[in-house]
Amino acid sequence: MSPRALDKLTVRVRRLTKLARVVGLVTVLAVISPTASFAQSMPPSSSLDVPTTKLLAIGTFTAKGSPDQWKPLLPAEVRDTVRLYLAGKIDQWYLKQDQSGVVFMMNVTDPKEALELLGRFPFGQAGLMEFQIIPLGPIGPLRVLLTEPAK
Amino acid sequence: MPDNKNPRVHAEILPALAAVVGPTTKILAIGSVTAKGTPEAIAPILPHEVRATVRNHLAGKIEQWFFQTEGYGVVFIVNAKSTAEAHELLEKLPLGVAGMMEFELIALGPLAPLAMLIGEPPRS
Repeated sequence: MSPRALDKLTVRVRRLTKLARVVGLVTVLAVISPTASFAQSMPPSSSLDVPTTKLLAIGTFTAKGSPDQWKPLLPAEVRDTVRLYLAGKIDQWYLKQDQSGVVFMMNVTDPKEALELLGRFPFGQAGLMEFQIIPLGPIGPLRVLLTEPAK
Repeated sequence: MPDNKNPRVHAEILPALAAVVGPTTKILAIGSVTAKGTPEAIAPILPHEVRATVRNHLAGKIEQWFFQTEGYGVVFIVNAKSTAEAHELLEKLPLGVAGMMEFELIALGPLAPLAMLIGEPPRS
């Protein structure tokens, strides 16, 4: 390798390092800031801290999701749903009685993963159904019962 | 004498099931803290709220209970046949009485489209 080429390479590496630093800082800020604003809206609640163990996924038909649109896709949708259950990702499944969609309890803790899995379903692919994800954990307030029993 | 076929085998009526809407078996209750429900206001009520919730669980009414890990609220799956029945149960919880928690109620039933998979088994 010629000295000139080596020089260019060094410059490139330096640039990359600089870029990496900026990206790193941005990532750190992005991670910190929502946590900070979140903490302000939360009660001082170390007793309520619980891990996310399940996700509630509420699927609702979009404006595009009229019966004439979803009916032909339903057999494929049902099969994908059963497959995701068999894969251990869907823990419970329900139909909303107002016919507006479905409710799943999922054995998934990352909302992104859940949206990605559900987005592969035929309804999702066709833009006929959207999911709202609510992360859930153990019912933290139960801790108030854990004081020592009276002697 | 009526034919004595096993009454549990309903193969001949199965295709019709696809059109049946299932019964309401559970109510999904999503509880959120209202503006009145500041941490200071909730703190003294919480021990009562927890006990009332556990009593409802022991009575078989609140079947599953979860805490929302983002935000501040709960999610219950309630054994009730209507949102009205669940509402009556939940509004009596101390935080509900104090106007500090509100529930969005969604009536749930079995995943009826599963009926599409239960036609005649393939003959082999």
